Amino acid sequence: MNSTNRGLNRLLILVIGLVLTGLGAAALAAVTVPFVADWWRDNRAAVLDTVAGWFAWNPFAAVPGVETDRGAAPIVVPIVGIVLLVVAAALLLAFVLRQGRGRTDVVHRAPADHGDVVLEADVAAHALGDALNGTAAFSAVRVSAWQVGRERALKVAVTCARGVSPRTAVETVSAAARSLDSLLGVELPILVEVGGGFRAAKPKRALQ
Amino acid sequence: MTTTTTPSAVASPSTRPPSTGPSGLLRRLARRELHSPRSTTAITLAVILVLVAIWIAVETVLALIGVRPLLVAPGEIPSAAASLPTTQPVFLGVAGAVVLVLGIVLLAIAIAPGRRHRHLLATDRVLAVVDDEVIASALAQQASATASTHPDGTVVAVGRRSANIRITPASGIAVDREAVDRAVAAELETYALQPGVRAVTTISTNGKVGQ
Repeated sequence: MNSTNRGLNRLLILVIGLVLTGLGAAALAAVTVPFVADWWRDNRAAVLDTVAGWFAWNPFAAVPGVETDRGAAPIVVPIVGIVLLVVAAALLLAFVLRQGRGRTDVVHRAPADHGDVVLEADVAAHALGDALNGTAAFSAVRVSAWQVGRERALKVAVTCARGVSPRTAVETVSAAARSLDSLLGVELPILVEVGGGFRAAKPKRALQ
Repeated sequence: MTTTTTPSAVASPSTRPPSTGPSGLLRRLARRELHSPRSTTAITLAVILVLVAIWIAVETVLALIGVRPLLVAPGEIPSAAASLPTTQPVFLGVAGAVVLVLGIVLLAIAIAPGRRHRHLLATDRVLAVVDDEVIASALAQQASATASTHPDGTVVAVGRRSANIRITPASGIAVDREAVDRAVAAELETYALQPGVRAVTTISTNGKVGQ
C-alpha cells in the first residue's frame, strides 16, 4: 500500500542488468572467442586512444599525473565530475529513502462549517482492533492508515489461526468494517491482508 | 448496482452509493499487493552505486591534491582494464562469466512479474489479499475432516490456479476421494478466489501406521 515507485525500481534493476550483461559478455568474449580476442589485440591501442579522448573531457583523466591535451581545464573538469558524482549519490539515496513511505495519521478529513473535521487513524485502529482482537480466528490484528494519491485507505492485517477459512476470516473483518462505518458515519476504503504465520504459532500438541 | 470494474477508475466514497463492493482504489491497491515491489534488489543496487560514486569522488579528490590513492587512481583504470585480456586472461574470463550471470539474473528480476503467493477475496465491503498458506491450511482442514483422517496426514500445495491435496490415510482405512473432491470444491466455491483455484485430490496408496 506504500507509495514506492515500482516502475522506477524495475527500471534501475533493468539498466544495471543491461550494463552488467554487456560488460560480462564483452569480458568473457575477449578471452574465449578467438575472433574477438584477435580484434582486441589489433585495436586495443586505438580504443584506448579514443577512450583517452573522452577522458580529456572527463574528470578522471584530467587529474594530475595523467597527460591531457586540454591544459586549460584540469582543475574545473574534475571538480564538475565530483559534483556530478555527489549529486548522483544524493539522488540514489533519495530513491532509497522514498521506499515504503505513505503511512498517514489522518484517515479522513471532512469540511465542516467552521474548519475541518479530522479523523485520526488511531480511532479507526482502536475501533477495529477492539472488534477483532477477541476473535478466536485471529492471533494478531494490525490496523494502519495509508495515503494513496489523494485518497486514504485503511489496511487491516490479520494473522489467522490454523485451518480457519479465509472466507470466514474476511467476512469477520467485513462485519467489523460495517460497524466502523456506522460508528464513524463515513465509509473508508479497507484493504484486508490475511496471513498465516503458522510456523511461529503452531501449538504444542500432546501425544495422541 | 453500479460498480466500477476498471482498475484505473477510482470511485470516490462520497459519490459511490453504499454497498456496491470494493472501489477501484481498493482494486488497484490489492493488485499491487499481489506483486513484489522489487524493493530489496533496487535498494541493494542503489546503495552499491552510491558507494561506488563516493569512492570515485574520493579517489578524484585524492588525485587532485596529490595524495596516494586508496585503491587505484581513476586515471589508470582504462589502460589497466584494457590490458586485462593479456595480463590476466583467466581472471577476466571468470569475472566476466560471473558478471554476465549477475546481469542476466537482474534482467530476469526486472522483467518477471514477481507474483506473490496470494489470492484476492472480495466481500461487499472490503477487499482482501489472502496468503496461499491460509488457503492451504483451510483446505487441509476441510479435506481431512471429510476423509476422517488425521490432519497431519494431509498435505496441500496451493498454486495460482490449482490446489493439490494429498491425503495419506491411516493403514487399512479407505478414503472416498470423490467425497473429498466435492467437499473441497464446495469450500473453494465459498471463497470465490481471484484468480480461481481448482482442487485435485490424490489419495496415497501407502497408508500410514500409528495415527
